Amino acid sequence: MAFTVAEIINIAEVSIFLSSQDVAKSGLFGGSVDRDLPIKLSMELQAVEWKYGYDPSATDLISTSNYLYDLCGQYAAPAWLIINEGEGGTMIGGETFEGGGSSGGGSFTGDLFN
Amino acid sequence: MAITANFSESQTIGEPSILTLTDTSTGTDVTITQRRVYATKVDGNTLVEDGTTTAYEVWSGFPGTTTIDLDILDKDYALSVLVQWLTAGGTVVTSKTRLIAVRMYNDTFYYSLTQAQTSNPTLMTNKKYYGSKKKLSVELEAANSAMEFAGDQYATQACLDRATYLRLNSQLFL
Repeated sequence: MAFTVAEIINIAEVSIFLSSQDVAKSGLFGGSVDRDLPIKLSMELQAVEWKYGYDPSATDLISTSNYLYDLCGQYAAPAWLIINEGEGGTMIGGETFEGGGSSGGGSFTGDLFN
Repeated sequence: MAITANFSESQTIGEPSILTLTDTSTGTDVTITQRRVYATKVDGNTLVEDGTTTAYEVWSGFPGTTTIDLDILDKDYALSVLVQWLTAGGTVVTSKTRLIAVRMYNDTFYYSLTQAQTSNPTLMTNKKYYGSKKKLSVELEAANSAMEFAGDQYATQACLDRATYLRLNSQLFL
């Protein structure tokens, strides 16, 4: 399946937190996860986003966005699922509010810490 | 409706030495015929084009000419940009000052590193390369934060200068 540059940017953004979670769970020696992967993804995402912001149709974005996608590795597929099927989350505690997804944040009243 | 002065800034990929200003003022004032641009660095001096003898650049053609390209940048800067709207006699009618960060030199270099990696992915396994690229990434993000959240021209310039040092010293990468 061919992704657009915009889609690859979203995949990379989600892959950052997915890989970050894996690194956190993998313990002192990292298991099989590159402990620097979240940072590397963030660094390369920074470059691709910059170029995309200036010239979305630049031809060199094909190779750099493909490189970014490759860097996502095992996280690309679950990231794509999350992007297409995720609806944001609900946080429960004290008061309830909704956030995330396309509808954005919300408002709440009351004291969360009371 | 009286004029409300405003302007925006931009840069174009491939032209890092040029700062483009666009007049986004609303309203009218028939007494205004010209504008002046002061691009002030952290040391208090202004940037002007070669051959300009004043501390400012003249932005003529008001109101028809809405953009001006200023070829004044020799590196990335945090600038306090003052634009004045004046009468033919030189009286300032209104003005607007904005703090901006122009970083096309360093951003272009940063992107070029990623381009190099697409044909040589093992670059990121090189500790020296990875460490220097990470520092460059942090300085560019820090410059962003210093400008956007703090409006701190000095901190922004310091971050950009550290990024510039990395850019101009390729031996730090390989």
